[in-house]
This record gives sequence, C-alpha cells and structure tokens, in this order.
Amino acid sequence: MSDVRAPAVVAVIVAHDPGPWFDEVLEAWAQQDYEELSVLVLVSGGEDPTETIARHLPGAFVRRLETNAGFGAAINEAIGMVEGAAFLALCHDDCAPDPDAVHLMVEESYRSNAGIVTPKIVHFDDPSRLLHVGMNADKTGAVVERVRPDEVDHGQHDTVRDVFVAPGGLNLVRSDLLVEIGGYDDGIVAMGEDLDLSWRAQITGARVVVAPQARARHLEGIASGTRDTTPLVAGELATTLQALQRRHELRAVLKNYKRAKLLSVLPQAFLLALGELVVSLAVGDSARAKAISSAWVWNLTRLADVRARRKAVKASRVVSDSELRRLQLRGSARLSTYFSRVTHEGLDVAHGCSRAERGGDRSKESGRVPDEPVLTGSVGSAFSEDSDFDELDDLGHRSGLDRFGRKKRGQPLLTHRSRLVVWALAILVAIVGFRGIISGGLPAIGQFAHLAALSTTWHEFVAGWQPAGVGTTAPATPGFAVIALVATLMFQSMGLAHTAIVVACLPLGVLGIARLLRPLCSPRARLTASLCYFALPLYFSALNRGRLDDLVAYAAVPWIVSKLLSAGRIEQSTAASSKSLVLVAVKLGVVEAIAVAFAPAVAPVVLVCAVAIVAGSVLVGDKSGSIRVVAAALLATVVAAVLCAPWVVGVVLSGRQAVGVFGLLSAAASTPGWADLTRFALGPEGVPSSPLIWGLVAAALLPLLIAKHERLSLAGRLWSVGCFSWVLALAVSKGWMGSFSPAIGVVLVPAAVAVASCVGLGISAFEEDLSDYHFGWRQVLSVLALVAIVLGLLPVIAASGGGRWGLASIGYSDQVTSIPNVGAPGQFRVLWLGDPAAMPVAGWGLGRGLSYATTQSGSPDSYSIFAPASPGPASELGDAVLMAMSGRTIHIGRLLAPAGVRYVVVVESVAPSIPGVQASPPVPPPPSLLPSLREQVDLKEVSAGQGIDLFVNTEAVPVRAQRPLNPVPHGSRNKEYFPVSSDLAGFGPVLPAALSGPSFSGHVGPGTVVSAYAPSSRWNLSVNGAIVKNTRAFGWGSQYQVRNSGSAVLTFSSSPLMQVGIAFEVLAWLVVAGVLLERRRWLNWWWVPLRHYWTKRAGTKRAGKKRAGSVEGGQ
Amino acid sequence: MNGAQSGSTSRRPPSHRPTVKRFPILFLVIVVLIGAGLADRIAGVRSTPVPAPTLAAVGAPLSSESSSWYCAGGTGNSTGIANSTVYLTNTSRDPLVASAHVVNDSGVSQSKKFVLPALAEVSFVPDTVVQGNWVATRIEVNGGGVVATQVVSGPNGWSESPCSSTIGSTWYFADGSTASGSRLLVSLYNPAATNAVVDLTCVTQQGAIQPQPFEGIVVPAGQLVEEEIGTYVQNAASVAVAAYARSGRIVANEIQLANGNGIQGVSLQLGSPATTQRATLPLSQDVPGGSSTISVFNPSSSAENVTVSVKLPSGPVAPFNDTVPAQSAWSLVTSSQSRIPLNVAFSATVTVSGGPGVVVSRAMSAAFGSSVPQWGSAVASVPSYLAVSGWVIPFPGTPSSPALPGATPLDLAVYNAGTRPVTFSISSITSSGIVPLKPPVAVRLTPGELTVIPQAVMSAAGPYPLVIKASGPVAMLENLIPAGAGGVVTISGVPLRY
Repeated sequence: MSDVRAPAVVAVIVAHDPGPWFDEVLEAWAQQDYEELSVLVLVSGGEDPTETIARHLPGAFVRRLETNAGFGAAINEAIGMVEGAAFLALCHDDCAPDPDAVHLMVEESYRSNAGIVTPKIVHFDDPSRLLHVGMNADKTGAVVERVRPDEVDHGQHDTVRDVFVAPGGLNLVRSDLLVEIGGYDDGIVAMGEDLDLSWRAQITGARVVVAPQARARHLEGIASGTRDTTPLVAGELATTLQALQRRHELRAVLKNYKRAKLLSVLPQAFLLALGELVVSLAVGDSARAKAISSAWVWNLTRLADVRARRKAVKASRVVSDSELRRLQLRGSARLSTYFSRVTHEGLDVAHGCSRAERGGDRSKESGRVPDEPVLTGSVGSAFSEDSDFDELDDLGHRSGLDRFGRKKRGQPLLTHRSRLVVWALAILVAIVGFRGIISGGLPAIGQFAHLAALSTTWHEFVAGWQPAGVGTTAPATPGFAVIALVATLMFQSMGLAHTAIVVACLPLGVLGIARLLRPLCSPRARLTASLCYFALPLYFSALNRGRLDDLVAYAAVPWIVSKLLSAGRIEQSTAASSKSLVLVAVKLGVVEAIAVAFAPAVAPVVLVCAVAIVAGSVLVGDKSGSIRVVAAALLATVVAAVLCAPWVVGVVLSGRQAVGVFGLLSAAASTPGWADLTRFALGPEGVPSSPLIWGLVAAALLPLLIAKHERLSLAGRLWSVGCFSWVLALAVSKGWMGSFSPAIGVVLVPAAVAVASCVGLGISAFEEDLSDYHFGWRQVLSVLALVAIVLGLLPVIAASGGGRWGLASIGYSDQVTSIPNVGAPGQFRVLWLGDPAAMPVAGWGLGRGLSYATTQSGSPDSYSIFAPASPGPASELGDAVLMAMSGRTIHIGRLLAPAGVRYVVVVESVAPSIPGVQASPPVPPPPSLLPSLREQVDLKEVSAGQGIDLFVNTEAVPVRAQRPLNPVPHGSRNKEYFPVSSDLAGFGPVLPAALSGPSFSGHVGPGTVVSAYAPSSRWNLSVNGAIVKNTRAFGWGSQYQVRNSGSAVLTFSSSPLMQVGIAFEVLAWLVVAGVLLERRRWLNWWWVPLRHYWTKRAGTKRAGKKRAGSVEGGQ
Repeated sequence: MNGAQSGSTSRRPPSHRPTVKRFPILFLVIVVLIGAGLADRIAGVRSTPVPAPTLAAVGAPLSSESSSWYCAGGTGNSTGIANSTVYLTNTSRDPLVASAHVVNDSGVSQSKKFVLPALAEVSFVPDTVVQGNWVATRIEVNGGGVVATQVVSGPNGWSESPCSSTIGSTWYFADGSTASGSRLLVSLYNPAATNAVVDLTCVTQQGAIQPQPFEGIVVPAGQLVEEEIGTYVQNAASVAVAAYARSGRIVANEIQLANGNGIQGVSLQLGSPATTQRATLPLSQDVPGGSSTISVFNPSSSAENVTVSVKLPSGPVAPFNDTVPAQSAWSLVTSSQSRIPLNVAFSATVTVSGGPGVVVSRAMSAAFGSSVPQWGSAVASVPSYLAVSGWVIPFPGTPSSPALPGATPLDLAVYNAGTRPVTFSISSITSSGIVPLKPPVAVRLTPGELTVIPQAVMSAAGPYPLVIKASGPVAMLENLIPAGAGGVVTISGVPLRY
C-alpha cells in the first residue's frame, strides 16, 4: 500500500428542480472509481431533492440556496464552502459522467498541466452521438462546435488537445484557478458562462484541454429548450436562448480583451452584427434580429459593470491578447459558417427558412418569440434546419435527383433562395429605374412642386392662412404635416423627403399586396402578386404625371382592401378571427386619414371597396362578414374625418364646391377609354403600358376558373372590387358623374389591387386546387396564364432602363423663372390655366378640361401641391377666364388686375417638351382658351418655354399697392363689377418686406393702399401703430385710406378657433396612436368588461325566457 | 408545400364551409368587361364633339364686359380706290361707349371715342381720325351686342363685309385675280400687342408660289401692312391667297379691284380663318351676259374630294364633283353649266371629304353696261352651329350716312343649312326696340330649302338693321343695290352669341 493519496476532488452539482434523469445522474456519480471524490449538491430553489440524493449518494453534502441565480452564481457560492480540494468538478444536474471520467480528467490535468479539463460530452440518451469535444471561439466570441450536429462517435476526436472553450455540463477546474479568477461571472445567468470562464482562465495562463477518454452524457436541458430560463431573466425583454447567448458572447468580448485589442475587435464585431441583422431582417428571421440588437443594447446599458469586471481581469492577466488570439479561430466563425452553408447547402438551409416560417406561425399563435432549439456554441446549428432535407445528399449537397434517381423537375419560386433572388432582382430593377430620380430629384410638374423649408412646411399646416388663389382662411390639409414629419425624419432635407415619399409609395404598395394575400397564399403566390402590382403601369403613370395623390393611393389601397377583408374575417385566418372590428376600423381609419391627406378621393374609394366586397360576397354565396366590412368602412371614414378634422370641416363648409377636392376632370381627349383603363394606361408615353399588361388582367381570371373554397371566395370579392373600380373610373372618365369626378388614378387603384391579388390567388389555386381536376382545359389555361404573367412583367423591366421611368427631368419651375421681374417676391401672382392633368399647381375647375390656380411670384411652390376646396374670391379669376373664352371681354387683364395677377400661364403639357432633352405629350387646354386670351387687348404674349404660353398683363396692379389718389370702387360682392383703366391706374408696390407668416411691412404715404387678399377680419393695417380702417375694394379685396405717411405693417393673425382645431387634430392622432400601441390594455379597460356585461345580460335574458317558457309549459 | 399549409387554413371546419358559387361572379366580370367596353364605344361615338366652325365675325353677347372688332384694309383718303367706312350696329338697349383706334400703313395711329346709341346703327369714317393710303380700325366697345361691318367704296363701285371679331394665325382667300385691269391687295393688320411674322402663299393655276418678298413679312404690333399681290404674281386670272402667321396673330382681308372689258367692280372680303368641310352659297342667279364662278381653295397638304350641290327651285341638279389637289384651287363657272338655267335663283352647297376642308367664295359679274359695280365677290357662308341668339344684317349705311347714295337691300335669302326643319323670323332694330317686320315674316324651312324675302318686304322694314332668329343653323345673304345685278354686292348675316 502506498501513502500517496490522490488529489481531492469535490464534485459540485447544481440542481434546480431536476427531472427524472436526476437519479441516473446521481447514480453515475455514485459509481465513480475515483477514491478522493466528495459530492456537494447545491439545490438552487425549487423542490427539495434531498431524499433522492440520500438514496443514491448517502455521503453527499447538500446545501440549499435561497434563490436560483444561475449555474455560475451557484458555483461561486460553493467556492467558499469547499476547502482542501485540489479540483472542483463543476457539474449540471443533467450530466452523468462515465465511472472513470473524474479519474481520467484528473490524470489529464496533471499530464497536460491544464487548469480546466473538459470531457467528451455525448447525448444523454444516445451516447453514440457526440455533443461536444471541447469548443472553439473566434475573436468576436462566437462559439463554434468542433463536431457536426449529431455526429456519431467513432473515436475520431479522441485526441487530447487545447480548446478555447470548455463547454458546460461537466468541467474539472483547479480550485486555486477558480479562486484566482473569481469564479463565474454572476452577470451571466445562463448560456455563455463557459466561454467567459474558459477565456479568463486562459488569460491567467491556464490551459483548457479536452480529455476525450473521459466521457459524460449530457441532457442539455437549457440549451435544448426543455428547461425554462424565464425565471433567470425575469423582467427582461429578450429571453430567448439565442438572445442570451449573443449578449453573453458580447459581454465576454467587452470584458476580456485589453483596451487596444478591444478597439480593433469591437468595430468588426459591430459590422458583423449589423450585416447579420440585415440578412436576418431580409429573410424574416426576426428572432435573430432581436437577439443581435438586444445583445448590444443589453451590454451598452451595463458598461459600468463591464468596466469593473475588466479591472479584475486586468489584475489577473498573465497572457497577452495576441497569444490568446492564436488559440481562437481565424476570421469570423459565424460569417464563414454562413457562407459555407450558403455555398454548399443553399440559402434555405443557411437560413432555416421553413423552420422560421413554421416557427413564426406557431409563435404568432402563442404570442411568444420562438427559441432556438439548439444553440450553445453552434453557429451552424443556428442555421441548420433544412426544409428541403430530402433534397440533400449525405454531404448536404443538392443532388437534383429524387429517391428513384430520376431528375427532379424544377419548381420555380418554391424555395426561399429562389424567392429571395427574385425579390433582389425586382429591387434591382426598381433601383435601376429610379436611379435618375434619386440622383436628379423630381421635376416641378403636377404635384411635385419644390417644397419650402421645413419650418415653412410646418407653418403651412398650422397657419390659419393659405395663399392659394387670393388667400383663404380654410384649414390646410394634413398632408403638409405628413410631409413635414417625413422631412424631419430625413434630417430636414425637403428634397430628400419629397423623393422618399414618391419613391416609397411603390414598395409600400407592393408590400401591401403581399400582406393582403398572406393569410391565403403561399410565399410564391404572394411574390408573384406583388411583382404583378409592381408591373402594372399605374404607379409609373402617376409618377409621370406628377400625381402625388395617385401615388399615395397606390401605396395605401392594398392595405385598405386588406383591412376591409380582415374586418369581414374574409381572409379566413385564425389571427384575423380574433381581431376586434373597432381595432381594425381604427387601423383602417389611420391608413385612410394619411391617404386622404394627400388624395381625398381615397375616402369614397374606401366606401366603394366596401360595397364591392359586399356585392362580391353576395355573388359568391358567402355573405358572412358583409356587415362588418361596411361597418368598418364607415367607422374608418369617421376616424379619418376626426384625424383630419379641421381640414374636413373646411371642406364641408365650402358647400357644393367641396366635390372638387376629389379631383377635376380632364378633357375628353385626355381621359382614358375602356381599353386604356383595363390596362391601367393613364399616363404619357414612357410608361410601360404595353398591351402585354392585358396578359396580367387575363391571368387574374384564372382563380375564377380553377380556384376552390376560400381562394375562389376571395377572388370573387376581389374581382367585384375590380369591376366596381373600373366602372367607376369609366364613369368618371366619360363625365357621367357630373361635378363629382374623383381622380381616375385613385379610383383605378382598387382594380389594380384586384388584378394583382387575383394573379396571386391564381398561383395559389394552381398549387392547391388544380390537382383536384382531371386533365383538361384548366391545366391548359393555367399554363397560358403563367405565360401571360411572365410576359406581363416584361414591360416594367424594359422601362427601367431609362432610369426615370419616363419622368421628365425638367419641370415648370425652370421655365417660369425666366419670367422678367419674377424676383419681386409677393408682389404679383401668376394665374395658371390648363387641363387639370397638365397643371403643375392644384386649382379649381372651370368645366371639363380646364382648371385655374395661382402662384405667388412665379414658380409653383409647396402651397401649390394641395388646393383648398373652395377658391373663395379667387373665383373671380375663373369667371374672368370664362368671360374671355365666351367672347364677353377683351379686357381680361383689367379683371385679373385687382388680384395682382401680372402673368397668365397656359399649360399645354405635363412637362415642358424640350427637343433633344425630353418630350412630353400634349395635354391641350380647351381650343378656345388661347385664341380668346390672344384677343385680349391688355394681355401681351411673350416668348416662354416649351409647353407653356405666357401672357403679361399690361394692366397689372401689385398685390400690395398704393396710389396717392382717390379710393378705388368698392364694387359689390353680389354683382359683377368690372374695373376700368382709371380704377387701376397709378398704383405702385408697397409693403415689400415679408415678415414671418402672412405679414408685410414698409413705408406708406398718404393715399389708398389696396391688398389683393381675400377679405378677413384677421387682416390689419397699422400705420405708425394706428390701425387703419379696412373697406372693400373691387368687390372682394381690401383698401385702406392712409392719411399720414409712416411705417406700416399689414399683418394677419390666426384665428384662435383654428389653433383649437389643430390642437384637436394633434390630440386625436396621439390618442389613436396610443390606442394602437396599447391596444390590449385599452381593450381590457373597456371592451372586455363591456363584452362581459353583454354576455351576462344575454345569458340572463335567455335564462329568463327559458324560465318563462318552462313556467308557461308547466301551466 | 408551405402554401398548402397556409392555404388550407380555415376558420371553419370543412363540413360547415359554405358552397362558393363560381358562375355569378364570372357572369358579373364578363358583363362588366364587355358591357363597359360597349358603353365606352357608344359614349365615345356620341361624345365625339362636332368641331365648331371658326368664324371670323361673331358678335359678343349682350352681357359682355367689353368686345372688339377689327376692320382691316381700306383706303383712308378722299381719293382712295376703296375708302373705308365702318358701321356699328348696337343691338343692346343701353348706349355703349366705343373707342376706335385707327392706324395707317405708315404706322400713324389715333384713337377716338364715341357713343353708340341703344338699338341704333352708327357710322365711323376712319380717315376722319387718321388718313393714309391704307387704314385699319380697331373698335373697342365697353359692352356686347355690337356688330361691325366695313364698306369700301371708290371709282370701281362698292362692297361690304363684316369686320373681324377674332385674330388668327391663318387666313385664306379663295379667289382673286391679277389679270390685266385687276388689282389684288391683301391687308395684314396686327391689332395684338405682339409682333407678327407672316408668310403669304399664292395659288394660281400654275400651282402654289411664295415670292420671296412675301416671306417673313413683319407686321408690328398694332400696325397695318398692305401687300399688292400683283407685284409678284402677275397676270394670273385666278389667285387664291393664304396668309400664315409664323408668330403672332393678325387679321387679314382682301380687296379686289376689277376694271377690264367694260366691267368694273370692287370686292372687300374678310378672310376665312379656317377651312371648312361644308360651305353654303344661299343665293346665286346667273343673268344674261353675266357670269358666276364658285372658287374652291384647298390650302391643306392633302387632296380634297369636292362636291358642289346645286338646288334649283324645281329641285336639285346633278352635283359637280372634282378632286382638288393639295395647295390648289378649283374654279367652277356655274354660268357655263347647262344644268343651271339663267335667271333662276339657286343655292349651292360645297361639301368635301378626304382632308381638313376648303375655303369657298363666289364671284359674280353683271352684264356689260349695267350699273356700277358690275362685278363683285362674296365668301360662302359657313353654317353656324354656335349658340347664337340671332344673326344681324346691318343696313348698308345709316339714313344720315348711307354707304352709297341709294344703297338699300335688294332681297334677302335664307337657306336651311341643317338637317332638320328650321323656323326663322325677321325683325328690325329701331329706336323703339326690336320689332318684327310687317307683315311678319316667320317661315318654316325644310332642310336644304331656300327662301328669298323680296325687296318689297325689305323696303317695308325701313333703313334699319335686321335681326334674324332661327331655330337651327341657317345661312343668309342679302343682296344690295346699287349694283349691276343681284349678288354683285352682298352682305351675310353676322351671328350674335348669347
């Protein structure tokens, strides 16, 4: 016998509510052949397993900890309890070592002079499969397995070697080392504590080795997701294992590098995280994206703690980072693994898409973010699940053969990879098509007038005065607020904001289609539908015509139709069935409000869509949800009206003219016919409105012919929407709707939505329903439809080459700036005349094909984008034009002079046609307009740019003018008043200095001051501080008789009522935002009790009736 | 497939799933797609606007704030060959203030204001304001309901034509002659505030010619330029002229002087600002020893198939057809046509197909030795589809200032140029109001029917302007005397807008 005794080893087992496997674990420890082994079981909360422990290990020490703070914290507690042990075997309660494991690890510790020894870890239930044989990590802390998932143990890894990470489960650690490095980091509750411990051990010079002869079976209860980590991270948002792993890896990086090394590693880690974040978002892996982002947030909020721990690490540092770096993997383990899998196994495998989708569905049902099933140290496993496993050979390569060895037929767009490629191509086409617009900006055509500064745009929204026409006190549209808000988010770049709004409408609309079809269609069908919506010429037509309203409608209507279907529970999804009608209506109302702010015609379109859905429901024989659809549409319209309250009130108060806000009708020659409407060809050339588009429309008929059940039901409703939309557009185009002529580009969007969606439903029906039929005409039609879809997508690809989608590069601003004296701000107006489709300024109608509007001092500005519902006194300008056209005056200049109109511009095309630069098809004004203007004796035609005719009013009077003569005639508001030359003679400009808002100052002399602004009691002229009495001039303007010269200020003060209205509007938006953000809490507050009350009341009534019936029966 | 999984998701168990009907929605889609297409086509046909003819002379409505007339051409001194006098007929019940701006071909201009009494016709002689070889007058009136005509008179006789109420960029004249003894003068008047640059194209039997001096004629704003065609287009029996304004807009008229073979005459024609597909000559009558010619000018770049339909009181005769090539003219000598007897009043309608239209006029000469003038021409009427309140036919002069001693209407022809029956009535504008003729003239005309109001009835109306109100499009022509024969000096009705 020898006196030499083996070094003492204390096995520290941390147990927390162990499962049935615990007996097996304890028995494994009981069977260890190491003589100097003691066992300490730390029970961290949960049920007391003392009896079980005593049954297997009667000699074991049991200590109960008050709380479960994690494995590391429990071990730290044990450090103070144990004395005299050379080694500690740190063990999970689900890890069972082989009988000789401790023995072999101790031997290896001495042999290798290792501080930490880790055994070969195998599956608990199947020891032939490997879990870990040590692990590695790269410089960013990403832990990498040394074995493949479920790799069979043939002894191929049975070599002792250094590893960077000793995986958790069972580790033999030198007691003094553990004390020196301060034990585990108690800030790491789970996942990643092994990385941190191993890293710090190596910083102090200790080796970490794997001893494969020693083996332990590990259940990996936490890492496999079978054990809940929620109690460990209670109160924290990111509770997924993946999130824990990512944040603790980053924590280790932040703690364990020296400062210089950290400064080089951290940016790399950040860039890698950013890239992974983008990829995760692109493939819809929201759990990963959240894990990445939360890791950084979590650590950045704990920098103080990190600093303190860095000091401790620094104190114990023996080995430099450069030496340690040699132990780590080169490059980025995560990135190289990702690319390796993409290269060899494809995107689907790399992203685990099908798992994500299934997981996504489940998670939505349960309301939880799905956990990663396998995570610890496994980059590959994070991407490992493969929906197409059957397609992979033993090496993970796609063979392309089926199980009988035959070549598989390709199924386009079935895999995530192929869909991603198509999406990328579509985005590429869009980028190529938009490149000129993004770099060159928008021309001042249509509603693309250059925006004023941010502060001015905000002021336009809140001010009680708009300069449109001759000025009006009507409230401004909330569109100004939306533009200003976007510009604020765009760092006050108005041009960028403008372009962003215009460009963003395309992806928003396309995504809306994908969202609309989500409950019923496969990703492939949704992708096809989205591409079809992209390929329809509606967006590009609106772009070429500069119609912001049409663009916004293009973006909003898919979401509106989606919400309407959702309200009626027509989409048939489980998620939809649980939605509250009120909530859906509020969401719909918000979308409608934003859309109406730019495109008022969306409001009637919402109602038309609702009616069309109901009609479609009746036709397909499924009327369920019809009432909900109509109710949602009505309620949403009310919500939208409340959210746009001041503007809506202003529109309503404008009376019959209010219908003009929905749109103005172009001349018959400029409006599309049925053939154009059915292929969505509204705009000028350069738009891909090829006849091939009819192929998409034809393909949209496919679901009506082959679909079944929900797909047929939805297709029927969508076609109903399309028919209503088309018929309404035709009615508007033909002028059958009278003065109510909503913008055709807006009215037609539901038809585009219907066509694109039905194309998607056709694909879905092709996948689901076609196999139910015998071979016949349906199959032939399906193939033809697929061909038509492909052909229908070609025009948009072809049109992208130009880089601007046919949009002109030069607008009317460049033309109008050539007007002489255009630089005198605020002292004259320009009267714009032309077909509404060609006008670069929003205005008011003068009958079909002619509208009028004014701008201040020349070019269209941001005030030109939206027109108030009523022109107010500016209607005098329109009347003057009509008089000239009917030959009733040759002195239109005199009639326009009181409004300060110095120039009359007649627009003849959407954009100026400049030879060699751009061509814009003519949109001529009524034939009699130009001849009648040319016959006016006080208009002088001057040379101007292409596309416009410019006249100078020789009788013009400045907007703010004075003459030292008699007062001007008062005129009458109820009777036509025609000024004569003497009324207009002798005026010169006055009050030149523009103050903030509609206020002007300057010197005035004695005489008559006239101001060509719509009359309002809010206008005041003060001369030397004294208010001058205001009287009417020329029937509608204002004149002031100034007796003494002096400094004067003409100022407009906003109405308090207007301020109240704006405040109400802002409050309404805040309330709705609060409701949507906190909807569940909000529902709990009032809806749940109300529903409970109704249910109870209904039950009481039923019971009462039942009792009454039984009483009657008894009698 | 994922789609299969999501696609088959259903809220209701299959057993409770309602049967989805396929055919009603298919039927709706088919009906809408086809029905809307048909509706579009029908509506498109119905809504195809009938282009309103561009008329040179249309009176402004009574409610007008202001209106204007442009009387281009005419000599402006006592020895002139075609001295100009402007007659203004005020059909409103309010006196109006008119301002006449006269400019001569030297660029001298003057203005004069005068009052137009209510329901009266006044004369204005431009050379009382500015004298010159040639003068043009712009009349501005502070109201509507006024019609202006211009009379030129000289040694060769006299002629009357409406002034222009419009400024245009193209003006056409279907006939003219630079043959021996004839002078053809074109007045280019620019009443606008912008300079105009004009090209003159002359079409003779040899084809279209554009002499270099007639290219790029600058007509300054407010100025008059007189061009004698015969200077560069000499000895052409038939000359049609087109004036094209490259820039700016003008008013153009033509004065033709005839003095040869014992035939004298003068003709003042207001140009036609546009071509037409249909033109009417309500009344013509060939007299022994005289002649009449219908000139059809095709100024367009495509050939026109022209049909001249002549209707006699006894009925229509076989029409005359010809193809008029682009930039050419066709002269149909009706007096040489055996189908048209002498001393029989007839109407002629010119219709074209194949191109944008033509311009038509008619020249007529009386027998040698008859009263001067023995020759004259008139522009064919373009049936008006405008919303007109009536047509005004001024009296040739006023009682105090007759256009010529003894000037009076000979007869009045009214022709139904439409496709539906038309009823018309004639009233005279007197100081006491607009009163119907006595005995009242209210005639119903069938389509294509012509009626001639005889001199006896016209004389009963007195020296007053006439107002003709009709229920449809009509064309009218008043023959004036003194002249060698009816049709040598004429005046057509000037439509007045509502």
